[in-house]
Amino acid sequence: MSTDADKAAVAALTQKVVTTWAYGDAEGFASVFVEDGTMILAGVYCDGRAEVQAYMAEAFEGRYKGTQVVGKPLSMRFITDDVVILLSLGGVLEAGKTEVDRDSAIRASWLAARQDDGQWLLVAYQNTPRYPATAGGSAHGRAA
Amino acid sequence: MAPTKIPTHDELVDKVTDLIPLLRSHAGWAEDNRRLHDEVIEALADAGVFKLRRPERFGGYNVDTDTLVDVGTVLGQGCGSTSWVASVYWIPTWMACQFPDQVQEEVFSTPDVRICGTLSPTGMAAPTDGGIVVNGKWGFISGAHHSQWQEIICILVPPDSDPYPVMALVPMSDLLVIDDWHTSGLKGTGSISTVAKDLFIPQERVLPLPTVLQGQNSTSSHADSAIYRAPLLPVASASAVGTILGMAKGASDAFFERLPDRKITYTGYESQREAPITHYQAAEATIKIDQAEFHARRLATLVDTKCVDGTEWKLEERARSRADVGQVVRLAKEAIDIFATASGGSSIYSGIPIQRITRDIQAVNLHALMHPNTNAELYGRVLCGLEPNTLYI
Repeated sequence: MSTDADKAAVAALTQKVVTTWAYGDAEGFASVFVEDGTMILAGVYCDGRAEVQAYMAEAFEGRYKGTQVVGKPLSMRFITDDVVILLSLGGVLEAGKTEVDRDSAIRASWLAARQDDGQWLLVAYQNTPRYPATAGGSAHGRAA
Repeated sequence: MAPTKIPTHDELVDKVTDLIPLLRSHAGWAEDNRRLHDEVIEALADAGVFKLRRPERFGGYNVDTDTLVDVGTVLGQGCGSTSWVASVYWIPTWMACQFPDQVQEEVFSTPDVRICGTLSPTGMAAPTDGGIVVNGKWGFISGAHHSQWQEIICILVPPDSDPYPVMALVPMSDLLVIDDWHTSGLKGTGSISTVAKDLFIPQERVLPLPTVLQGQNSTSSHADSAIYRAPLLPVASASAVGTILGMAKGASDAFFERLPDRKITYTGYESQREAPITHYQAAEATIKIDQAEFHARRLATLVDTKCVDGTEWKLEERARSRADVGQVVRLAKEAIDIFATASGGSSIYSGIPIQRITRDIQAVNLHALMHPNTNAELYGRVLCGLEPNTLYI
Protein backbone atom coordinates (compact mmCIF):
# COMPACT_ATOMS: atom_id res chain seq x y z
CA MET A 1 0.00 0.00 0.00
CA SER A 2 1.59 3.27 -1.05
CA THR A 3 1.41 6.06 1.52
CA ASP A 4 1.31 9.85 1.29
CA ALA A 5 4.97 9.69 2.27
CA ASP A 6 5.71 7.56 -0.81
CA LYS A 7 3.84 10.00 -3.04
CA ALA A 8 5.73 12.94 -1.59
CA ALA A 9 9.06 11.12 -1.93
CA VAL A 10 8.33 10.40 -5.60
CA ALA A 11 7.24 14.00 -6.20
CA ALA A 12 10.51 15.05 -4.56
CA LEU A 13 12.38 13.55 -7.52
CA THR A 14 11.08 16.39 -9.71
CA GLN A 15 12.29 18.89 -7.10
CA LYS A 16 15.75 17.29 -7.07
CA VAL A 17 15.96 17.68 -10.85
CA VAL A 18 14.95 21.35 -10.57
CA THR A 19 17.57 22.14 -7.94
CA THR A 20 20.50 20.22 -9.43
CA TRP A 21 19.69 21.90 -12.75
CA ALA A 22 19.74 25.34 -11.11
CA TYR A 23 23.23 24.59 -9.83
CA GLY A 24 24.36 23.11 -13.16
CA ASP A 25 25.26 20.00 -11.18
CA ALA A 26 25.45 17.05 -13.58
CA GLU A 27 26.54 14.57 -10.92
CA GLY A 28 23.65 15.57 -8.66
CA PHE A 29 21.25 15.35 -11.59
CA ALA A 30 22.50 11.85 -12.48
CA SER A 31 22.26 10.74 -8.84
CA VAL A 32 18.48 10.75 -9.23
CA PHE A 33 18.88 7.68 -11.51
CA VAL A 34 19.69 4.08 -10.59
CA GLU A 35 23.06 2.81 -11.85
CA ASP A 36 21.57 1.37 -15.05
CA GLY A 37 18.86 4.03 -15.42
CA THR A 38 18.02 5.39 -18.87
CA MET A 39 17.11 8.82 -20.18
CA ILE A 40 15.46 9.53 -23.53
CA LEU A 41 15.09 13.11 -24.77
CA ALA A 42 14.45 14.32 -28.31
CA GLY A 43 17.53 13.13 -30.19
CA VAL A 44 19.22 11.91 -27.01
CA TYR A 45 19.63 8.45 -25.47
CA CYS A 46 21.65 7.94 -22.29
CA ASP A 47 22.16 4.36 -21.14
CA GLY A 48 23.20 4.33 -17.49
CA ARG A 49 23.85 6.95 -14.82
CA ALA A 50 27.36 7.67 -16.14
CA GLU A 51 26.03 8.59 -19.58
CA VAL A 52 23.35 10.78 -18.05
CA GLN A 53 26.01 12.61 -16.07
CA ALA A 54 28.31 13.01 -19.09
CA TYR A 55 25.49 14.31 -21.27
CA MET A 56 24.26 16.79 -18.66
CA ALA A 57 27.78 18.01 -17.84
CA GLU A 58 28.22 18.96 -21.49
CA ALA A 59 24.70 20.41 -21.80
CA PHE A 60 25.09 22.59 -18.69
CA GLU A 61 28.09 24.19 -20.40
CA GLY A 62 26.28 24.47 -23.71
CA ARG A 63 22.62 24.27 -24.64
CA TYR A 64 21.38 24.48 -21.02
CA LYS A 65 23.79 27.14 -19.78
CA GLY A 66 21.92 29.79 -17.81
CA THR A 67 18.61 27.93 -18.05
CA GLN A 68 16.29 26.62 -15.38
CA VAL A 69 13.93 23.69 -15.53
CA VAL A 70 10.42 23.44 -14.17
CA GLY A 71 8.23 20.41 -13.62
CA LYS A 72 5.16 19.46 -11.68
CA PRO A 73 3.44 16.11 -11.31
CA LEU A 74 0.51 15.41 -13.62
CA SER A 75 -0.36 11.99 -12.26
CA MET A 76 1.16 9.24 -10.20
CA ARG A 77 0.26 5.55 -10.49
CA PHE A 78 1.74 2.92 -8.23
CA ILE A 79 2.13 -0.32 -10.15
CA THR A 80 3.28 -2.15 -7.04
CA ASP A 81 4.19 -0.77 -3.61
CA ASP A 82 7.74 -0.25 -4.88
CA VAL A 83 7.27 0.80 -8.51
CA VAL A 84 5.57 3.96 -9.75
CA ILE A 85 4.92 5.84 -12.98
CA LEU A 86 4.91 9.59 -12.57
CA LEU A 87 3.80 11.82 -15.42
CA SER A 88 4.78 15.46 -15.33
CA LEU A 89 4.41 18.76 -17.15
CA GLY A 90 7.35 21.07 -17.51
CA GLY A 91 10.21 22.16 -19.67
CA VAL A 92 13.36 24.22 -19.92
CA LEU A 93 13.10 27.89 -18.94
CA GLU A 94 15.37 30.00 -21.07
CA ALA A 95 17.49 32.58 -19.21
CA GLY A 96 15.36 35.47 -18.00
CA LYS A 97 12.06 33.69 -18.68
CA THR A 98 9.47 32.82 -16.05
CA GLU A 99 7.27 30.62 -18.22
CA VAL A 100 8.24 27.77 -20.51
CA ASP A 101 8.18 28.67 -24.21
CA ARG A 102 5.62 26.76 -26.23
CA ASP A 103 8.38 25.02 -28.17
CA SER A 104 10.16 23.94 -24.96
CA ALA A 105 7.08 22.59 -23.18
CA ILE A 106 7.18 18.85 -22.59
CA ARG A 107 5.36 16.02 -20.91
CA ALA A 108 7.54 13.41 -19.25
CA SER A 109 7.24 9.87 -17.92
CA TRP A 110 9.27 8.92 -14.89
CA LEU A 111 9.54 5.26 -13.95
CA ALA A 112 10.81 5.11 -10.39
CA ALA A 113 11.49 2.23 -8.00
CA ARG A 114 12.05 2.01 -4.28
CA GLN A 115 15.60 0.88 -3.54
CA ASP A 116 16.73 -1.45 -0.77
CA ASP A 117 17.64 1.54 1.40
CA GLY A 118 14.08 2.90 1.03
CA GLN A 119 15.09 5.68 -1.34
CA TRP A 120 13.10 6.25 -4.55
CA LEU A 121 15.25 6.52 -7.73
CA LEU A 122 14.58 6.84 -11.44
CA VAL A 123 14.80 3.69 -13.54
CA ALA A 124 13.77 5.37 -16.80
CA TYR A 125 12.94 8.91 -17.86
CA GLN A 126 11.58 10.02 -21.20
CA ASN A 127 9.94 13.20 -22.47
CA THR A 128 8.10 14.43 -25.55
CA PRO A 129 7.15 17.93 -26.73
CA ARG A 130 3.76 18.94 -25.32
CA TYR A 131 2.56 20.56 -28.54
CA PRO A 132 2.73 19.35 -32.14
CA ALA A 133 5.44 21.09 -34.14
CA THR A 134 3.90 24.05 -35.92
CA ALA A 135 4.99 25.68 -39.15
CA GLY A 136 5.79 29.30 -38.33
CA GLY A 137 4.48 28.84 -34.80
CA SER A 138 1.05 30.19 -35.74
CA ALA A 139 -1.11 27.30 -34.56
CA HIS A 140 -2.78 27.57 -31.20
CA GLY A 141 -4.02 24.03 -30.70
CA ARG A 142 -4.31 23.07 -27.07
CA ALA A 143 -3.58 19.55 -25.93
CA ALA A 144 -4.94 18.81 -22.48
CA MET B 1 23.77 43.31 26.81
CA ALA B 2 22.93 46.76 28.17
CA PRO B 3 19.22 47.53 28.25
CA THR B 4 18.05 49.12 25.03
CA LYS B 5 16.57 52.55 25.10
CA ILE B 6 13.43 51.99 23.13
CA PRO B 7 12.31 54.99 21.10
CA THR B 8 8.71 56.09 21.48
CA HIS B 9 6.14 55.65 18.75
CA ASP B 10 6.43 59.33 17.82
CA GLU B 11 10.23 59.24 17.74
CA LEU B 12 10.16 56.27 15.36
CA VAL B 13 7.59 57.92 13.11
CA ASP B 14 9.59 61.16 13.06
CA LYS B 15 12.77 59.30 12.11
CA VAL B 16 11.20 57.55 9.15
CA THR B 17 9.38 60.72 8.10
CA ASP B 18 12.80 62.31 7.72
CA LEU B 19 13.69 59.52 5.27
CA ILE B 20 10.90 60.30 2.79
CA PRO B 21 13.00 62.60 0.53
CA LEU B 22 15.81 60.00 0.41
CA LEU B 23 13.40 57.17 -0.42
CA ARG B 24 11.77 59.23 -3.17
CA SER B 25 15.11 60.20 -4.66
CA HIS B 26 16.19 56.54 -4.87
CA ALA B 27 12.85 55.14 -6.10
CA GLY B 28 13.84 55.42 -9.76
CA TRP B 29 17.23 53.79 -9.16
CA ALA B 30 15.50 50.95 -7.31
CA GLU B 31 13.22 50.34 -10.30
CA ASP B 32 16.07 50.49 -12.82
CA ASN B 33 18.23 48.13 -10.77
CA ARG B 34 15.36 45.93 -9.53
CA ARG B 35 16.55 46.15 -5.91
CA LEU B 36 16.86 48.67 -3.11
CA HIS B 37 19.86 50.99 -3.00
CA ASP B 38 22.41 50.19 -0.28
CA GLU B 39 22.02 53.75 1.03
CA VAL B 40 18.33 53.09 1.59
CA ILE B 41 19.08 49.94 3.57
CA GLU B 42 21.60 51.86 5.70
CA ALA B 43 19.12 54.65 6.31
CA LEU B 44 16.44 52.17 7.35
CA ALA B 45 18.90 50.54 9.75
CA ASP B 46 19.83 53.93 11.23
CA ALA B 47 16.18 54.76 11.74
CA GLY B 48 15.66 51.52 13.67
CA VAL B 49 13.35 49.91 11.10
CA PHE B 50 15.08 46.51 11.38
CA LYS B 51 14.73 46.55 15.18
CA LEU B 52 10.95 46.86 15.25
CA ARG B 53 10.25 43.12 15.48
CA ARG B 54 13.60 42.20 16.99
CA PRO B 55 13.23 40.93 20.59
CA GLU B 56 14.21 43.33 23.36
CA ARG B 57 16.73 40.88 24.81
CA PHE B 58 18.70 41.23 21.57
CA GLY B 59 18.54 45.01 21.59
CA GLY B 60 15.32 45.20 19.57
CA TYR B 61 12.35 47.49 20.11
CA ASN B 62 9.57 44.91 19.83
CA VAL B 63 6.99 47.62 19.11
CA ASP B 64 3.23 47.12 18.98
CA THR B 65 1.42 46.48 15.72
CA ASP B 66 -0.05 49.97 15.60
CA THR B 67 3.49 51.37 15.42
CA LEU B 68 4.32 48.98 12.57
CA VAL B 69 1.32 50.33 10.67
CA ASP B 70 2.45 53.92 11.14
CA VAL B 71 6.08 53.27 10.21
CA GLY B 72 5.02 51.18 7.19
CA THR B 73 2.66 53.94 6.08
CA VAL B 74 5.33 56.63 6.20
CA LEU B 75 7.83 54.44 4.34
CA GLY B 76 5.18 53.56 1.75
CA GLN B 77 4.47 57.23 1.26
CA GLY B 78 8.12 57.60 0.27
CA CYS B 79 8.63 54.46 -1.84
CA GLY B 80 6.36 51.43 -2.12
CA SER B 81 9.18 48.97 -2.82
CA THR B 82 11.18 50.17 0.18
CA SER B 83 8.24 49.89 2.51
CA TRP B 84 7.32 46.48 1.09
CA VAL B 85 10.78 45.10 1.78
CA ALA B 86 10.81 46.59 5.29
CA SER B 87 7.46 45.00 6.11
CA VAL B 88 8.53 41.69 4.57
CA TYR B 89 11.57 41.65 6.88
CA TRP B 90 9.29 42.21 9.89
CA ILE B 91 7.38 39.00 9.14
CA PRO B 92 10.25 36.44 8.90
CA THR B 93 11.93 38.25 11.82
CA TRP B 94 8.81 37.45 13.83
CA MET B 95 9.00 33.88 12.48
CA ALA B 96 12.64 33.58 13.59
CA CYS B 97 11.44 34.35 17.11
CA GLN B 98 9.53 31.04 17.04
CA PHE B 99 12.76 29.05 17.04
CA PRO B 100 14.60 27.81 20.15
CA ASP B 101 16.66 30.34 22.06
CA GLN B 102 20.03 29.06 20.81
CA VAL B 103 18.92 29.62 17.20
CA GLN B 104 17.69 33.10 18.02
CA GLU B 105 21.02 33.87 19.66
CA GLU B 106 22.82 32.86 16.46
CA VAL B 107 20.50 34.78 14.13
CA PHE B 108 20.30 37.92 16.24
CA SER B 109 24.06 38.01 16.85
CA THR B 110 24.10 40.06 13.61
CA PRO B 111 23.11 43.65 14.42
CA ASP B 112 20.14 44.82 12.34
CA VAL B 113 19.92 41.30 10.90
CA ARG B 114 17.63 41.02 7.92
CA ILE B 115 15.67 37.84 7.32
CA CYS B 116 13.74 37.32 4.10
CA GLY B 117 11.21 34.55 3.66
CA THR B 118 8.21 32.90 2.14
CA LEU B 119 4.99 31.09 2.96
CA SER B 120 5.13 28.83 -0.12
CA PRO B 121 5.97 25.16 0.52
CA THR B 122 7.98 24.75 -2.69
CA GLY B 123 10.72 22.56 -1.26
CA MET B 124 10.87 18.91 -0.23
CA ALA B 125 12.68 17.72 2.90
CA ALA B 126 13.79 14.29 4.05
CA PRO B 127 14.78 13.48 7.63
CA THR B 128 18.42 12.63 8.31
CA ASP B 129 20.66 12.30 11.37
CA GLY B 130 20.39 15.51 13.34
CA GLY B 131 18.12 17.39 10.97
CA ILE B 132 16.67 17.42 7.46
CA VAL B 133 17.99 17.52 3.90
CA VAL B 134 16.19 19.97 1.62
CA ASN B 135 15.77 20.39 -2.12
CA GLY B 136 13.67 23.30 -3.23
CA LYS B 137 13.20 26.58 -5.04
CA TRP B 138 11.35 29.60 -3.68
CA GLY B 139 10.19 32.56 -5.75
CA PHE B 140 9.19 36.13 -4.82
CA ILE B 141 11.86 36.41 -2.08
CA SER B 142 11.61 40.15 -1.44
CA GLY B 143 14.69 41.74 0.06
CA ALA B 144 16.90 38.68 -0.54
CA HIS B 145 19.78 40.84 -1.79
CA HIS B 146 20.22 42.50 1.59
CA SER B 147 19.41 39.53 3.85
CA GLN B 148 21.69 37.39 5.98
CA TRP B 149 19.10 34.62 6.51
CA GLN B 150 16.09 33.19 4.71
CA GLU B 151 13.11 31.48 6.25
CA ILE B 152 11.97 28.64 3.97
CA ILE B 153 8.98 26.31 3.90
CA CYS B 154 9.19 22.70 2.68
CA ILE B 155 7.20 19.52 2.85
CA LEU B 156 8.89 17.10 5.22
CA VAL B 157 8.44 13.45 4.27
CA PRO B 158 8.90 11.31 7.38
CA PRO B 159 9.37 7.56 6.82
CA ASP B 160 6.42 6.44 8.94
CA SER B 161 3.85 9.20 8.88
CA ASP B 162 2.09 11.65 6.59
CA PRO B 163 4.12 14.47 5.04
CA TYR B 164 3.65 17.91 6.61
CA PRO B 165 5.02 21.42 6.02
CA VAL B 166 7.96 22.68 8.07
CA MET B 167 9.50 26.10 8.43
CA ALA B 168 13.29 26.39 8.60
CA LEU B 169 15.99 29.04 8.83
CA VAL B 170 18.91 29.05 6.40
CA PRO B 171 21.91 31.37 6.02
CA MET B 172 21.79 33.07 2.62
CA SER B 173 25.27 31.69 1.92
CA ASP B 174 23.70 28.19 1.77
CA LEU B 175 21.35 29.19 -1.06
CA LEU B 176 21.75 29.77 -4.78
CA VAL B 177 20.27 33.10 -5.86
CA ILE B 178 18.53 33.33 -9.24
CA ASP B 179 17.91 36.87 -10.40
CA ASP B 180 14.58 36.44 -12.17
CA TRP B 181 12.94 39.62 -10.86
CA HIS B 182 11.81 41.19 -14.13
CA THR B 183 8.35 42.57 -13.33
CA SER B 184 5.91 45.37 -13.97
CA GLY B 185 5.37 46.30 -10.32
CA LEU B 186 7.23 46.41 -7.01
CA LYS B 187 10.30 46.32 -9.22
CA GLY B 188 12.57 47.79 -6.56
CA THR B 189 11.91 44.95 -4.10
CA GLY B 190 14.47 42.57 -5.65
CA SER B 191 12.10 39.65 -5.06
CA ILE B 192 14.33 37.05 -6.71
CA SER B 193 14.28 33.24 -6.44
CA THR B 194 16.49 31.07 -4.24
CA VAL B 195 17.42 27.39 -4.51
CA ALA B 196 18.57 24.83 -1.93
CA LYS B 197 20.26 21.68 -3.20
CA ASP B 198 20.76 18.72 -0.83
CA LEU B 199 20.99 21.29 1.93
CA PHE B 200 21.39 19.95 5.47
CA ILE B 201 19.51 21.96 8.09
CA PRO B 202 20.05 21.08 11.76
CA GLN B 203 16.95 20.05 13.67
CA GLU B 204 16.92 23.10 15.93
CA ARG B 205 16.38 25.31 12.86
CA VAL B 206 13.27 23.34 11.79
CA LEU B 207 9.72 23.79 13.15
CA PRO B 208 6.38 22.31 12.10
CA LEU B 209 4.50 25.03 10.18
CA PRO B 210 1.00 24.19 11.48
CA THR B 211 1.85 25.07 15.09
CA VAL B 212 3.31 28.39 13.96
CA LEU B 213 0.22 29.15 11.90
CA GLN B 214 -1.93 28.37 14.94
CA GLY B 215 0.18 30.41 17.35
CA GLN B 216 0.66 27.25 19.44
CA ASN B 217 4.41 27.09 19.24
CA SER B 218 6.20 26.70 22.56
CA THR B 219 9.79 26.06 21.52
CA SER B 220 11.14 29.45 22.46
CA SER B 221 11.10 31.00 25.90
CA HIS B 222 9.32 34.01 24.37
CA ALA B 223 10.76 36.07 27.14
CA ASP B 224 9.81 39.31 25.50
CA SER B 225 6.23 39.53 24.47
CA ALA B 226 2.90 37.93 23.76
CA ILE B 227 3.18 39.04 20.12
CA TYR B 228 5.33 35.99 19.40
CA ARG B 229 2.49 33.69 20.51
CA ALA B 230 -0.08 35.11 18.07
CA PRO B 231 -1.06 33.17 14.91
CA LEU B 232 1.12 33.93 11.89
CA LEU B 233 -1.38 35.19 9.32
CA PRO B 234 -2.98 38.00 11.37
CA VAL B 235 0.51 39.09 12.43
CA ALA B 236 1.74 39.03 8.82
CA SER B 237 -1.36 40.83 7.51
CA ALA B 238 -1.05 43.53 10.14
CA SER B 239 2.63 43.98 9.28
CA ALA B 240 1.78 44.60 5.63
CA VAL B 241 -1.16 47.02 5.74
CA GLY B 242 0.87 50.14 6.54
CA THR B 243 2.87 49.75 3.34
CA ILE B 244 -0.30 49.59 1.26
CA LEU B 245 -1.94 52.54 2.98
CA GLY B 246 1.31 54.46 2.52
CA MET B 247 1.31 53.86 -1.23
CA ALA B 248 -2.13 55.51 -1.45
CA LYS B 249 -0.94 58.44 0.65
CA GLY B 250 2.11 58.73 -1.59
CA ALA B 251 -0.19 58.91 -4.62
CA SER B 252 -2.20 61.61 -2.86
CA ASP B 253 0.99 63.61 -2.19
CA ALA B 254 2.05 63.25 -5.81
CA PHE B 255 -1.35 64.36 -7.07
CA PHE B 256 -1.76 67.41 -4.84
CA GLU B 257 1.80 68.52 -5.51
CA ARG B 258 1.13 68.78 -9.26
CA LEU B 259 -2.44 70.03 -8.91
CA PRO B 260 -1.95 73.84 -8.85
CA ASP B 261 0.12 73.96 -12.03
CA ARG B 262 -1.75 71.44 -14.13
CA LYS B 263 -4.34 72.48 -16.64
CA ILE B 264 -6.80 70.12 -18.25
CA THR B 265 -5.48 70.06 -21.78
CA TYR B 266 -7.82 71.02 -24.64
CA THR B 267 -10.43 72.33 -22.20
CA GLY B 268 -11.12 75.76 -20.80
CA TYR B 269 -9.67 74.82 -17.42
CA GLU B 270 -6.36 76.65 -17.03
CA SER B 271 -5.98 75.01 -13.61
CA GLN B 272 -7.20 71.53 -12.88
CA ARG B 273 -8.01 72.80 -9.39
CA GLU B 274 -10.98 74.81 -10.76
CA ALA B 275 -12.75 71.84 -12.36
CA PRO B 276 -15.70 70.17 -10.56
CA ILE B 277 -14.52 66.75 -11.83
CA THR B 278 -11.28 67.31 -9.91
CA HIS B 279 -13.19 68.20 -6.75
CA TYR B 280 -15.12 64.98 -7.01
CA GLN B 281 -11.96 62.92 -7.69
CA ALA B 282 -10.06 64.52 -4.82
CA ALA B 283 -12.86 63.82 -2.35
CA GLU B 284 -13.57 60.32 -3.61
CA ALA B 285 -9.93 59.21 -3.45
CA THR B 286 -9.28 60.83 -0.09
CA ILE B 287 -12.34 59.20 1.47
CA LYS B 288 -11.20 55.82 0.14
CA ILE B 289 -7.84 56.34 1.85
CA ASP B 290 -9.70 57.10 5.11
CA GLN B 291 -11.66 53.89 4.64
CA ALA B 292 -8.49 51.92 3.95
CA GLU B 293 -7.02 53.35 7.14
CA PHE B 294 -10.05 52.16 9.09
CA HIS B 295 -9.39 48.55 8.01
CA ALA B 296 -5.66 48.87 8.70
CA ARG B 297 -6.31 50.21 12.22
CA ARG B 298 -9.00 47.64 12.97
CA LEU B 299 -6.59 44.84 12.06
CA ALA B 300 -3.67 46.29 14.05
CA THR B 301 -5.90 46.94 17.06
CA LEU B 302 -7.21 43.39 16.95
CA VAL B 303 -3.67 41.93 16.95
CA ASP B 304 -2.52 44.26 19.74
CA THR B 305 -5.64 43.68 21.84
CA LYS B 306 -5.44 39.90 21.55
CA CYS B 307 -1.82 40.02 22.65
CA VAL B 308 -2.72 42.02 25.73
CA ASP B 309 -5.83 40.14 26.84
CA GLY B 310 -4.48 36.72 25.82
CA THR B 311 -7.85 35.40 24.66
CA GLU B 312 -7.96 32.68 22.02
CA TRP B 313 -8.28 33.77 18.39
CA LYS B 314 -11.73 32.99 17.00
CA LEU B 315 -11.93 31.63 13.46
CA GLU B 316 -14.02 34.65 12.47
CA GLU B 317 -11.38 37.04 13.77
CA ARG B 318 -8.68 35.29 11.77
CA ALA B 319 -10.78 35.34 8.61
CA ARG B 320 -11.59 39.01 9.21
CA SER B 321 -7.86 39.72 9.41
CA ARG B 322 -7.46 38.44 5.86
CA ALA B 323 -10.59 40.41 4.85
CA ASP B 324 -9.20 43.61 6.34
CA VAL B 325 -5.90 43.41 4.46
CA GLY B 326 -7.89 42.70 1.28
CA GLN B 327 -10.01 45.78 1.84
CA VAL B 328 -6.94 47.95 2.48
CA VAL B 329 -5.60 46.77 -0.88
CA ARG B 330 -8.90 47.34 -2.70
CA LEU B 331 -9.49 50.82 -1.32
CA ALA B 332 -5.86 51.92 -1.74
CA LYS B 333 -5.89 50.71 -5.33
CA GLU B 334 -9.17 52.49 -6.06
CA ALA B 335 -7.81 55.70 -4.56
CA ILE B 336 -4.55 55.43 -6.50
CA ASP B 337 -6.39 54.71 -9.74
CA ILE B 338 -8.52 57.82 -9.24
CA PHE B 339 -5.45 59.99 -8.68
CA ALA B 340 -3.76 58.37 -11.67
CA THR B 341 -6.68 58.96 -14.01
CA ALA B 342 -6.72 62.60 -12.91
CA SER B 343 -3.01 63.07 -13.53
CA GLY B 344 -2.98 63.56 -17.27
CA GLY B 345 -0.89 62.20 -20.12
CA SER B 346 2.26 63.78 -18.71
CA SER B 347 2.06 61.43 -15.74
CA ILE B 348 3.19 58.41 -17.75
CA TYR B 349 6.76 59.73 -17.90
CA SER B 350 9.04 57.61 -15.72
CA GLY B 351 10.00 60.51 -13.48
CA ILE B 352 6.42 61.07 -12.31
CA PRO B 353 5.72 58.89 -9.24
CA ILE B 354 2.04 58.19 -9.87
CA GLN B 355 2.75 55.77 -12.73
CA ARG B 356 5.08 53.75 -10.51
CA ILE B 357 2.63 53.70 -7.62
CA THR B 358 -0.10 52.46 -9.99
CA ARG B 359 2.07 49.52 -11.04
CA ASP B 360 3.15 48.82 -7.48
CA ILE B 361 -0.39 48.66 -6.10
CA GLN B 362 -1.43 46.38 -8.96
CA ALA B 363 1.36 43.98 -7.98
CA VAL B 364 0.21 44.06 -4.35
CA ASN B 365 -3.38 43.53 -5.47
CA LEU B 366 -2.38 40.26 -7.16
CA HIS B 367 -0.60 38.85 -4.09
CA ALA B 368 -2.23 35.53 -3.20
CA LEU B 369 -2.67 36.38 0.48
CA MET B 370 -3.86 39.93 -0.17
CA HIS B 371 -6.16 39.82 -3.18
CA PRO B 372 -9.38 41.60 -2.19
CA ASN B 373 -11.59 39.04 -3.97
CA THR B 374 -9.90 35.96 -2.50
CA ASN B 375 -9.81 37.44 0.99
CA ALA B 376 -13.43 38.59 0.92
CA GLU B 377 -14.50 35.15 -0.28
CA LEU B 378 -12.62 33.51 2.59
CA TYR B 379 -14.26 35.81 5.14
CA GLY B 380 -17.66 35.20 3.59
CA ARG B 381 -17.21 31.42 3.72
CA VAL B 382 -16.52 31.61 7.42
CA LEU B 383 -19.43 34.02 8.01
CA CYS B 384 -21.65 31.46 6.27
CA GLY B 385 -20.51 28.74 8.65
CA LEU B 386 -18.21 26.84 6.27
CA GLU B 387 -14.70 25.74 7.11
CA PRO B 388 -11.89 27.89 5.67
CA ASN B 389 -10.47 26.31 2.50
CA THR B 390 -6.92 27.30 3.33
CA LEU B 391 -4.22 26.62 5.89
CA TYR B 392 -3.21 30.28 5.61
CA ILE B 393 -5.63 31.89 8.01
